[in-house]
Amino acid sequence: MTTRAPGAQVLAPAAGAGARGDPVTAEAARRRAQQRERRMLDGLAELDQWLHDQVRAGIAGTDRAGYQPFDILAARMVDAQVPSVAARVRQLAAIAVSGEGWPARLLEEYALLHLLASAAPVALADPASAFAATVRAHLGVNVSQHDVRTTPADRDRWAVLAFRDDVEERLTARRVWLRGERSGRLAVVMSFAVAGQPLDSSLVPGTTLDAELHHYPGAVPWRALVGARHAVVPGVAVPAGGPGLAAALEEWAAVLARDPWLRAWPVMLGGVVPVLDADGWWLVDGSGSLPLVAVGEAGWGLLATSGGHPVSLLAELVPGGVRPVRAFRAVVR
Amino acid sequence: MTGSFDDLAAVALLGAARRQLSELVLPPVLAAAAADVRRHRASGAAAGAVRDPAGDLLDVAALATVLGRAGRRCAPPRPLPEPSPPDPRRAAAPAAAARLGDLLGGADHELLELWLTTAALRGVRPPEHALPRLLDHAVRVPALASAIAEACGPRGRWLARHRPDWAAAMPGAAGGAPGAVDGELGTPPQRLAWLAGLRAGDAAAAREKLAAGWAREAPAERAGLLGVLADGLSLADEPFLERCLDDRRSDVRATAARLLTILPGSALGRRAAERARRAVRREGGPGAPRPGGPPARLVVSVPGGDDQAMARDQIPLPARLAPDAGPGGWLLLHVVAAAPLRTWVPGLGTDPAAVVELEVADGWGPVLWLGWARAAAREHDVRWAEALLGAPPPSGSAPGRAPATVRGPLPDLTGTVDALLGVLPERRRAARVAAAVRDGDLPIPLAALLRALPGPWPREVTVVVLGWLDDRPRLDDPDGRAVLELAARRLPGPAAVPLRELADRWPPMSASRRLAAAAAELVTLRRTIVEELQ
Repeated sequence: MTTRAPGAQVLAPAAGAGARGDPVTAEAARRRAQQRERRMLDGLAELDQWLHDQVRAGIAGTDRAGYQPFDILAARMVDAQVPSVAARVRQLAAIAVSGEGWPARLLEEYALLHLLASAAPVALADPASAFAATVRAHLGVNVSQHDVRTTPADRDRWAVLAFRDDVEERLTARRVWLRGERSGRLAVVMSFAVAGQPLDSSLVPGTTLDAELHHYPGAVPWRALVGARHAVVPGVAVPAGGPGLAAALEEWAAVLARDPWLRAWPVMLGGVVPVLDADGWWLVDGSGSLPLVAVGEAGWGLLATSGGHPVSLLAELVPGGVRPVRAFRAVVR
Repeated sequence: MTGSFDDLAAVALLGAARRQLSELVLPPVLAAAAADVRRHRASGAAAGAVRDPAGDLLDVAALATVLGRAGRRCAPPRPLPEPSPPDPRRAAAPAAAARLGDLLGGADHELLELWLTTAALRGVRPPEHALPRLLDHAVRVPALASAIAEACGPRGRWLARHRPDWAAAMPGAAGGAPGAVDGELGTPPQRLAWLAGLRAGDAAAAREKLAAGWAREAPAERAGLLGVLADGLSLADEPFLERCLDDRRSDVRATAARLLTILPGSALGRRAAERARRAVRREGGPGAPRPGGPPARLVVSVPGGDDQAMARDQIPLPARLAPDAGPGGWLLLHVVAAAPLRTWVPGLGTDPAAVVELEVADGWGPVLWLGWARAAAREHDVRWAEALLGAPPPSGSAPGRAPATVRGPLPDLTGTVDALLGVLPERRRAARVAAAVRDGDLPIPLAALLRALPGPWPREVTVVVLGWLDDRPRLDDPDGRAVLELAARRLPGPAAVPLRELADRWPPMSASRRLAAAAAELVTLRRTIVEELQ
C-alpha cells in the first residue's frame, strides 16, 4: 500500500511530487490532476443524469431489471476513476431485489449518489478543504500513506480493542479499532488484501500501543494509520462509563451533518445491555433502546459477556441501528 | 419520517414525470430545507430554465434521507431480562482460556472434559465469550452436557434459557424444575426423571402410578420406566414385577427378572436358588475335608433344557442364544449366574474364597467361575469379587480367549472381569490389576484390565504399565496400541517423562516410537491443561 501510481496521489492537497521540487514533474502532475478531476466530474454528471432519468420515468420494475443496467453504469464510473461510486452502483442491483420496501431503500441510495454528484464540483473547487477530502474519499480517490503521514501526529496510548474482516467485492478489508487512553478518541486502521492473501496483523487486540496516529483528511476523522511506535504493552484499559445511546445518536447526527455519506461511525458505548426478545436483538439503556443489526452468531457471545448486566460496547452506528463489534465487561486489565 | 419517505418513494416508483412532488405535504423542517435548496439551485441556473421535477425529487429525497438518519431517536427502553446471578468462581487465566478455545475447536472430547471437570473442581469459570460454543457442544455431544453445565455455572444456565436447543441440552437450565412436568406429559427423559423423583420420595406411590398407567405406556419406554424401581426395591414391588415377567417385550421381562433376582426373599430368587442347588452340589461333606477321606469337591448335574418355568424366569435357552454350544454348559452358566450368591454360602463353604477354591469335577470349573462372577457383579459383592479375581479360571490359551473347557467354548471373559473389578473399591482394584500384571497372570488382555481403572492411575499401576511397555518386543501390535492409547489418557502427568524416554529407546521412524511419543505428548498436554487451571 505504500507505493501508488503517481496519478493516485496528485489530488491530495499540497504535498506530493510538487513538494519535492522538480518543476517539470510538478507541472506534469498538476496537468494529470486536472485531467482526472475533469474525468471524474464528467462521470458524476453522467451519473446524475442517469439518476434523474430513473426517477423521472419511475423506478417501478427496477426490481425485475437484473444486474445489467447497473453493471453498465458501474463500468462507466470505473472509466471515470471514481471506483467507490462504481462499487456503490454495483450494490444497487442487490438493493432493488431486497424485497418488501425496496423502493424506499433504492431511493435513499439514489438520493445520496445525487447528493455526492451535486457536491463534488463545489467541494473540488477548494481542493485543500476538509470537505473536498471527504468527497474524494467517497469517490474512491486514494490518499497515499505518505501524504497521511504528513498530517499532524496524534500521540496517545492507543488501546487495540478489536478487529473485523469484511469481504468487500474482491478484497478483504480489515478494520482494527483503537482507542486513545488520554483523548478517549476512537480510530479505525484499515488494511486490505486480495482474497486469500494475509492481512496486516501488526496490531494485536488486547495490547496498548504508545504510538503516533495520523488521521486521514476529511471533515470527520475516523480512519487513521499508525506512524511512529514507541512502545507496546499487553492489556487494554476500557472505561466503565461512556456515552449512552441518546448521546451517541447526537454525536452521530453531528457527524452526518459534516459527512452525510458515512455509513458507519465507531462509538464506545457505556452501560448498555444487549437484549434478545421476541422482536429480535436490542441494545437498551436508561435513555431508550436501539435495534442491533448484522448481529449474527456474535450476538450470543455478546449476550454471554453481558449476562443481562450493563457492558461497555464497541460498536458502529449505522443507518439501521447499532452494529456490535465487541463487548467489554467493565474494566479489562 | 418513514411515512413521508415512503410517500417520496411512491412518487419515484411512478416517476416524477407523472406524479407531482408538490402534491405531497412535507414535514415543515423538510419543506423549509427543500425550499432553500430550490432557491439555491434557481440562483445558479440560467434565467428561464425549466425546473426539472426529477431533480426536485432527488433533492428532497437526499434531504429526507440524511434528516432521517441524523434525526433518529431511541425507541422506548425494552424490558430488561432478569440478569444472570453472580458467579463467585474466579475467571480462567488467559492461558487456560486460550486452551479452552483450542479444545473447543478440536475433536478430542476427553481433553475438553478434562478441562471442564478440572475447572469445576478448582472453582474456575470459563471465559464468558466461550459459553455459546460450550453450549453448542452440549447440544452436539450429550455425553459432555453435564460436565458443560457444571463448568458453565449460573451464566451458562442463564444464557441457555435464550435458546430452546441449549435449554434442552442443559440439565437444570429449563425454566421449570423436573417436578413441574407431570408424569402423564413430557418427553420420555422428563417422565423418567419425574418417576425417579417420585420413587425417591414415595416408593409405593411411584410403583402404583407406574402399574396403573402400565397399559398406556409406549412399549419401548416400559423397560426404562421399570428400571426406576431398582431404587428402593422391596418385596412390595414383587407382585408387579412378577406380572412383568409375562410381558410381551423381552427387555421388560429381563428387567423384571434382574430386579427380582437382586430382591432378597423374592420367589424368583428362591426358584433360582433351588434350581442352582439342584445343579451344583458338594461332595465330601460340609466343613473341612475329613482327614484321610477324599477332598471335598463340587459335582455338577447339568440342568434339563426344556423348562417353561426357567424360560419365564429369563434363563436364556441355548437354542436361542448359542446354537453351536453344548446345551449343558450354557444352561449351567445361566442357572448359576441367575442364583443369588447366598445360595452358595454357607451351603458350599464358609465364605466365597472357600467356595471358589473347591475342586470342580469334570472340568466345569470355568463355567461355575463365570456364573458366580456374573452374580457377584450383579450383587456388587466385594468379597465374592475378591475371591473370584484371586482364582481366575486357568487361561489355557492366550489371554482373552475363552478358557479351555471340555464342555465347549465359553464367552469372552473381558466384560466379566471388568465388571468384577468395577465391584472393588478403587484402591483395591488398582492393587489387583497391578498384582495381575506383575505376576504375568492375565486372564484377559492388559488393556481390558486397565480400562476398569479410571485415571490418573496410582503409582503402582503406573510402574507396572511402564514396565510392561518396556518389556515388549514391539508396541505397534494391537495389545501395545491399546495399552498406549489408555496410558496416554490415564497416566499421571509426571509419567510423561519416562514414557518419552521409553519412546526414545526405539529406532527413529519406527511405528513403536511414534506411538509411544504420541502417547507421551498427550500425557504432557493433559498435565498442561490441569496446570493452566491452577
